[in-house]
Amino acid sequence: MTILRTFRTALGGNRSDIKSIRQETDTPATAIDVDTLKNLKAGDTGRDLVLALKPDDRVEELSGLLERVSLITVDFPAYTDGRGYSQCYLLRERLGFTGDVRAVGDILLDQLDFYERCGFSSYVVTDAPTIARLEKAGHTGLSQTYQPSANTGLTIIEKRIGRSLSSTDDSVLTVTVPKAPYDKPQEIQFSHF
Amino acid sequence: MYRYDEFDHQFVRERVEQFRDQVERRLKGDLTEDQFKPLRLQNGLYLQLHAYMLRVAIPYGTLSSRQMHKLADLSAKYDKGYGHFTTRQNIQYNWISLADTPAILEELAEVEMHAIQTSGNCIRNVTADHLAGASADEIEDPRPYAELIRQWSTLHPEFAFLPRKFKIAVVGSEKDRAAIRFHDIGLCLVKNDEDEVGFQVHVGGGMGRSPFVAHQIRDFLPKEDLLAYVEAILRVYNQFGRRDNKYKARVKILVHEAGLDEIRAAVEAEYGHLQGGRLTIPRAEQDRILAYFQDPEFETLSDTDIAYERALQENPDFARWVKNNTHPHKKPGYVSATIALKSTGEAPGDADTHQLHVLADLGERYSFDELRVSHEQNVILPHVRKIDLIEIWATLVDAGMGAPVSGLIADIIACPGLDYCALANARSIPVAQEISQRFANLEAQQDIGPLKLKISGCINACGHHHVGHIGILGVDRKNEELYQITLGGSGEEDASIGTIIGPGFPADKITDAVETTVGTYLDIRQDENETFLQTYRRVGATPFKERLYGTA
Repeated sequence: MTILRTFRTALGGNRSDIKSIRQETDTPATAIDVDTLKNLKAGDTGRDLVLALKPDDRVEELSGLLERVSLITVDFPAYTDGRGYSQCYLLRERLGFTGDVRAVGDILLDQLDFYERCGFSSYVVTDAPTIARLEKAGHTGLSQTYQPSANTGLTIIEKRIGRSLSSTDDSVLTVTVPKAPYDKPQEIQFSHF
Repeated sequence: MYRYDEFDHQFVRERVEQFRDQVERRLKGDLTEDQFKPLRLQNGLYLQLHAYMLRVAIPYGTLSSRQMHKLADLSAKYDKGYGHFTTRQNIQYNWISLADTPAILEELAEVEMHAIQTSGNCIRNVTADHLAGASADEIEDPRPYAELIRQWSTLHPEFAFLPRKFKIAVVGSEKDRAAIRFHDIGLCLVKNDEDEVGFQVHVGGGMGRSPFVAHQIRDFLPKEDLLAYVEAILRVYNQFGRRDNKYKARVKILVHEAGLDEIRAAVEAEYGHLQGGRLTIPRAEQDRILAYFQDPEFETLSDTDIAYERALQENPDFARWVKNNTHPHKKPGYVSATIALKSTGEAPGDADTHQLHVLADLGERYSFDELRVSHEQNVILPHVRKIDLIEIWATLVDAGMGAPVSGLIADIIACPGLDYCALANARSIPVAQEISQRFANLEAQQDIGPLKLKISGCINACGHHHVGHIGILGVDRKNEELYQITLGGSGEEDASIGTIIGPGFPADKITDAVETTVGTYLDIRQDENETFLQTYRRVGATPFKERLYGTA
């Protein structure tokens, strides 16, 4: 069995906001590769193309070529090959691609959170323990992140700043710092810049 | 020092639960060993020759007494009563069971510690100058920036499966006490012509089987762009670093093969996209973190003290320890003191449970509750009053940690070697022990002067032999352990890679060979102020070769 899980990372929702889980047979057979995409002539074919990226494809060369593409599959030949994370990041953040970006290949439970945070909007899972776990309890990601990456949630730093900005006086930030060797807090004030 | 806020606390607690779940799935069979291996490595858990080894992160080598007490407790509860400080300022436990690791991580989280990314093909725990915030020669304390890098690199979703491991080091002075030129990224705080402080960025250094001194990729980087620039380097490396051969997968090889200019162009282009974006460090966050690293409440002291001077005069053993093991401090009347975990015949960097507690107590009592771990496998009390040194020294001598050898030939760096490590070709610790015994005479060591001797049990160079003034590399030839000698390396600002001097020596001859090498130096140095490294750089390898192998 294959599970296709779709969520809405790059489309503005929470990253665990699942749109659907449905069974699929495989990656769409109609997928084209980068060379084919580059050689397409205007009017050759319709819209809703499926592009299959290989790990060594240069995403930035696709600038201006993705208007007719609705789905991009990014291949992880082994889950330890991390090039696809950067490909997806660049598709979202650099090229502004808003269609579906799907992780395919050696897809396992403990990487799903990383996929979502890099901007993937779906993945295809064939690993039985991963499927069982997903159907029962969701994946293993953490609720806090230190990096913006390609997801829309606030980073820990941004939450800290947001918290301090929403305090009463917006020209002064008060930070409470426990100072060694004593554990008694010490108030330190800074101006915002 | 840095303290977790509620976000950091929640993050690490959730991470412990995540790993607990991963261990349970491994034990249940839902994860194969191949699937589990990168997960456990990213949590510092290795499978060694005899047991699991857990490497606990000590970010930029800074820790509190409470944390050191916890490390001591863990060594008693889950190990055989020892901890081993590493060349990356971390601590390792060599006798851990897989089932215990979640509980250990939970205990670490109580004291704001973790084992995240102390191994694996990801961004490793960041290192820094062990005298940060204390040394007189510093432009600025590098640790706030190391902390920003720690947070940014922790579970970065894009860089968890890099071609190979990735190490970052930061210093705040021209003097390089963190070997930044032998890291994947080395950062040095500098001042530009406008008197602004920023970073000089080095990339592509490393040891291992292909040692390289890093290239300077950028002269000056504004501080607020630190994370944007580092992420740009990582994004270039993640896409273009080699994945076909793990021995050619480090960024040093990418820089070497593509050339610095091409890599710089790619990094600068990526940086151009990121500049001014979400990775720009907000001033408020920079200030928040800087506040944690403000000076402790130093007393106003005169530079010296009558009782202290008298103790130096009356007690030559104490005077020797002070001479070798203390470093000038930025405040009058204070020094930084190195506790050399190099007692004669002991494994370099090892401390037992009692010693770990003693270290914690000393930090609490005399050094504003702060301790450091150096990449030379020693522990440092960063801020101590000179008038307290006599008590500190006496306590150390009682606990077997009074070795007055910091910077001398017995201050050896050694990897765990074949006694523990699954990768090693040869033993390291017994060689270090024998050399330290041979050179046990302190007068003789003092006469030899500054000499860095570093031992690796295999070509992966965890014992930094490439940058030893004298380096020793264990190799395996037809099931015999042989030891090659390299000469003339330096991991500091005058970075250089040692040269292999000739064929290897068997285990029972290597100490003789080191003695011959040192004897050669003593015979040919211009005067006693010319160090081993200076002599080697003046005369080259020939006189040493002749004495070691005879004239051909």
